[in-house]
Parts: sequence; structure tokens; C-alpha cells
Amino acid sequence: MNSYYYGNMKFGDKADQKDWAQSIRLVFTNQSNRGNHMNISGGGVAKYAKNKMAAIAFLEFLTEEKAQHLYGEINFEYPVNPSVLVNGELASWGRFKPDTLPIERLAALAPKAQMIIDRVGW
Amino acid sequence: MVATFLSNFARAQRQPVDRWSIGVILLCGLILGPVLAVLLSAFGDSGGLWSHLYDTVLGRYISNTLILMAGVGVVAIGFGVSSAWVISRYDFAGRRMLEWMLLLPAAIPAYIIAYSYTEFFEYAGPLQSGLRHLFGWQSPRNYWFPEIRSLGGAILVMASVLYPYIYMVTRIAFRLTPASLFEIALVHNRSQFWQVGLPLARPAIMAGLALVMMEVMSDFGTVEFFAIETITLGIFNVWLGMNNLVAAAQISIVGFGFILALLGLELYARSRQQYVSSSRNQTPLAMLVPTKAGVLACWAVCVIPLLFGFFIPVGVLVGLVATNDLLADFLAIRGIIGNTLIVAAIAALVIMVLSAFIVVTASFRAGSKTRKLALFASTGYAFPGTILAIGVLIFTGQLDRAIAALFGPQFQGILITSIGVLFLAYIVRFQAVGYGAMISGVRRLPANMMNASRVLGQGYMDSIRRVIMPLLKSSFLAGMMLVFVDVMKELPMTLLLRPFNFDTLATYTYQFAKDEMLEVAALPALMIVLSGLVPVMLMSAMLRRYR
Repeated sequence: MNSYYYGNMKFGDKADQKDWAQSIRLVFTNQSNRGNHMNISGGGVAKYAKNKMAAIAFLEFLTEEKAQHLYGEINFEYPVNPSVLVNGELASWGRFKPDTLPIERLAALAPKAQMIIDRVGW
Repeated sequence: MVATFLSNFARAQRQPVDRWSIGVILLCGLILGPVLAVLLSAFGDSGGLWSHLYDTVLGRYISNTLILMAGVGVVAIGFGVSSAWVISRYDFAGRRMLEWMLLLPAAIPAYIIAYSYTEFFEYAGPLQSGLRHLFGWQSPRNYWFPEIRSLGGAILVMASVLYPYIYMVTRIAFRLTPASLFEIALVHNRSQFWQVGLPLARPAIMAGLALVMMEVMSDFGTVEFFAIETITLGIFNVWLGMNNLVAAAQISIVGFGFILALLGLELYARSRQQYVSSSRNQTPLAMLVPTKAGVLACWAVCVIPLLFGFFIPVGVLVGLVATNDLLADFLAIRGIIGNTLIVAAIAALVIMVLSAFIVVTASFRAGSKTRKLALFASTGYAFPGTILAIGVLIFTGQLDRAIAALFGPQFQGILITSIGVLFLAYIVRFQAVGYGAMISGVRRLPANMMNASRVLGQGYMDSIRRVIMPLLKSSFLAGMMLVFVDVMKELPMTLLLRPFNFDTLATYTYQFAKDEMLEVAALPALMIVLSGLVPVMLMSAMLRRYR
């Protein structure tokens, strides 16, 4: 389960979902080898975007300390900026070893992965 | 190349092509362009992916599609024909009400019933939770419950909302079957249903079945949600999962084969249908009066499809909406409602103007070849949205390149980055709906209306404006309503081709349902269902004409 689903269940306004969140124990995967896979909330600027400068400024703001903490507080997402510390609720979930494979490698390998899925019949 | 084509066209018709006909030919080119683009790009190089797909998934795609079509077909015929027979032949309390209510499931797009059924039947849903509570079961190991997100579930879900197509045509066919034939069966003590009703309604049932199967073929929302790998979903996966447009186009060719077969089935069935409706009722046939148990059976036959196709899914949605804060929900989606209404209204207007132009010109001005071209250009409806989206994208890309070459590089990508590409997709797909509405309006006109006006000294344009257009107004409006609703609930093309930060009710519902948060999207889903009631009312008015 993604971290933000867990956080939203734990602090959401649905009573039964709170119970479910209470009854589970967090386990980070692959801790003895490549580490826990992490999704990203990514952004980019379209090639023909009209307000290129403003778009870049916004993306830069999103990677700064203030916005990175907001991601953690509001939606329980870990900071992507390595100089920003994990704090608050996220910190209480403990430290873990993340998978450091660059995210663009995933995109490059996706067609090959899909071919394996096709062959195995997942 | 276009010029030589046009001059060849002119020669073949042995008459000069006038500018009206050229307009129609160009428009049909615009509509058929994306379909041709898929065909052409399939000849490109997919980097060896085709042989991989052929070795691994293609067989599964085809067999899943076939099983789904056959399963939905059988269940939809079961629902549609049995209820049509009961309504046509038995006189029982509530018959009049059930007659139109049986059309209600047609208001619900298959993906929405799939979402609400999953909400209802899944492990955490109210049904299984209730059963667990009732019998004290603790976990899924304590009991067996059918998985709704399966091939069988998809068959049930789709058949429940698609059977009205079959019900409607079969009901009309039973009504038009001469009473004398049923009386002969009575005299000889043979079954009225098996030996008279069913054989004579067969062409109508086949035509309805072809429509149902086309809908199954083009469905994207349900199979994606249930993870059933059909051809349509395969196209989507190969395109977006493997970034390979050429291979997606190649799978689309397989889809083409299916669609051509279904179009053929429909045409064949329709050509046979004439035979059924040729003889009209002289003396009305006495209805059968069922016993008390019979009344119950009649009700069961009609209520079961209604329950599955309308009351359970709508009940689930209403239940979800009722637990939410309605005003907050409404405010959250007001921008999306605005988007949806504007896009659907503009698309409906544009499509109807184009359809009116094409149909009127083809009927009163152009030669038989242009008429055939116009008919041919209205087959876009049969193609799955995922296939058309590919075609529209390739076609628009080429168009953009031509525009940039003509007008300068500042126009690079002007169409493909705008909402224009989505509108083109709507036109290609739903032009057929407008065409159908307009052509049926033209066919109802007395044959010599145009000639009379011309003989009385009015020019072509004046005749169209003062005689033909006023007479076609109701067809125009009916067609506009149908296109409006079709655009409103359209999912795959909107999902693939919309601009950034642009949602319609359908894509909004899709996104939340995908994350299993249907409660957030229950209100937009319910709104789509409500809008779908409009064509149901039109269908019901049509049934009444055959009473």
C-alpha cells in the first residue's frame, strides 16, 4: 500500500478506516537487498507550454523545503529533495532503505517489463 | 492527389461535381481520415513487437473478446427476448409500466454499472459485509463468494445494461408479426413462441445482437476495471504500456476484422427484417391471460433484468450520494459539470450541422457515389474509442505538420495540443448518430417535396432553407440530444485525448473509481445516468408508436 493511503486512513474521517489502519503493522519491503520501491509525484514542462518560466518557477517551489513538508503533512508523501528532513508523522513510521534505482530507468525498462508480463501471463 | 481523385470522381459520375458535393467529399475525408490513418500506420515498423504480441497475448485478447461477446450476447438475448415476449403476448397488471421501464438500463454506461457492482459485491462491500455479520464469518477463507471482477462478472454487468437494444427491436418485431400466424399455431396446438414468434423475430434479434456486440467490442471502462484483456484493452496497454503506436495500430487491425463482421451481420439482418414488417396486422390478436402463478412468472421475467440493469446499480449510487454531503460534492465538481455540458453541447451542435449538411447534400444534390461515401463515413460509431483515438492522433499530427509547413513554424502542434483533437474524435465517432437521425428524417419526407419547390421557381438553397430545413427540425433536435448524451458519457477517447487539467464527468468518475474511491465520484456517475434517461425517453416514444 502507498504511504499516503495508510496516512489518509489513519487520519481520515471514516471511523472503520481508522480501525483498519490501527490493526496493521508497517513493514518496508526489500530491506535486505535493493530497498523499498518509492513512487514519485513528478512534474514536467510541456514542450509548447505558454508560460514556461512560471512553470519552472512553480516546479522549483515544489522541491523547496516548505512545499516538501506540505507534501508530508497533507498527503503523507516522503520528501524527494534529499536535503529536506523527514519529520512529523512520517518520521514516526521509522527509517527504511529506499530503492535508489533512478525513476527514468523504470520508464526505459517499462516496455521490456510489459513483455515479460505478457510472456508470464500475470 | 486530391485533385486527381476529385476529377476521377467527377468523370465517374459523368456530371460536373458542384461545390456542395465537394464539401461533402472533403468532410467525409476528414471523418474517414483517422480510420485510414490507423490502417496505414499498421504497415509501419513496430520494432519486432508484433511477433512478440502474436506469440504471447494476441490469442488471449481474441479469445477473451470472443467469450465476452458470446456470453453477453446469450444473456442479453435471454433477458431481452423473454421480456419482450411477455410484454407482447400476456395481459397482466403492471404490463404498461414494465414495458417502458425495461428500457431504463440503457441509460447506464457499462463502466458505471461495473463500478457500482464492484462497490456492492466486493469483499468490503455491503453485501459480503452483511453476510459475514449475519453468519459470523471472519475472513474470505470461511465462505465462497463469486468474484465480480471476472469474465463472468463482466458478462453479467454488460448484458444487464445492453439487453434493451434486443428488447426494443424484438418487441417491435413481435408486434408486427401478423396475428393470423399466431392463430394458426393456436389451431394446431403448437408453441406460439418457438414456432411463430421467435423464427419471425430472428432478423430483428440478430440486428439487435450486432449492436450489442459492437458495444461489447468498443467497451473500455468495464474491461479495464475488471482487468479482462480484450482487444480494446490490449490496444490501450500496448500503446501506453509499451509506448508503441505502430503495434497498437496492428492490434487494431484485428479489431477491424471483428467490426466488419458485426457490420456485415447487422446489414444482413436488416435486409431480412423487411420481410417481417411487410405485412401489417389486420385484426388485433387477443392477449393471453395468465393464471395467478403466471402473473408472478411474468413479473419475474421483467423484473430480474430491471433489477440487475437498473435498480441495484442506481440504488448503490444513490446510497453513496446519500451518505455524502450533497452540496459539497456538487460544489467540488461544478467546474467539471460546466466542462462536460459545454463540450457536449458544442460537439452536438457541430456534429448535427455537419450531419445535416452531409445528409441534405447527399440526398438532394449529389450523385449515388457521394451518397455511398456519406453512408461509409458514418461507420465510425462501430469502432472502439481506443482505435479511433490512435487514428485521430496520427491524423492530427499529419495535419499539424501540413499547417506548420503552410503557415510557418509558430503553428507547430496547434491542433494536437488543443481540445480540437478531442472534438475531431467526437465527430468521427458520433457523426453516425447525427447521420442516422437526419437520414431517417429525410426518408420520412414525401419524395417529391424538393422537386415541387424547385418547379415552383425556388433555387436549391432557397428550397433547402424554406422547405426542407423546417421539416427536418425535429430530427435535428432529436439527433442533437442523442449526440449530447453520447459525448457526455464517452470515456476512452476523452481520457486519451483531453488537454491537461481537463476533466469531464466521465473521466472524473473513472479516476476515482480506479482508485476504489467510488464514493467520491458517485454524484457525477449518477448525473451521467440521469442524462442517459433522455435517449431512453426517445426510445420509449418510439415503442409507443408500435403499440
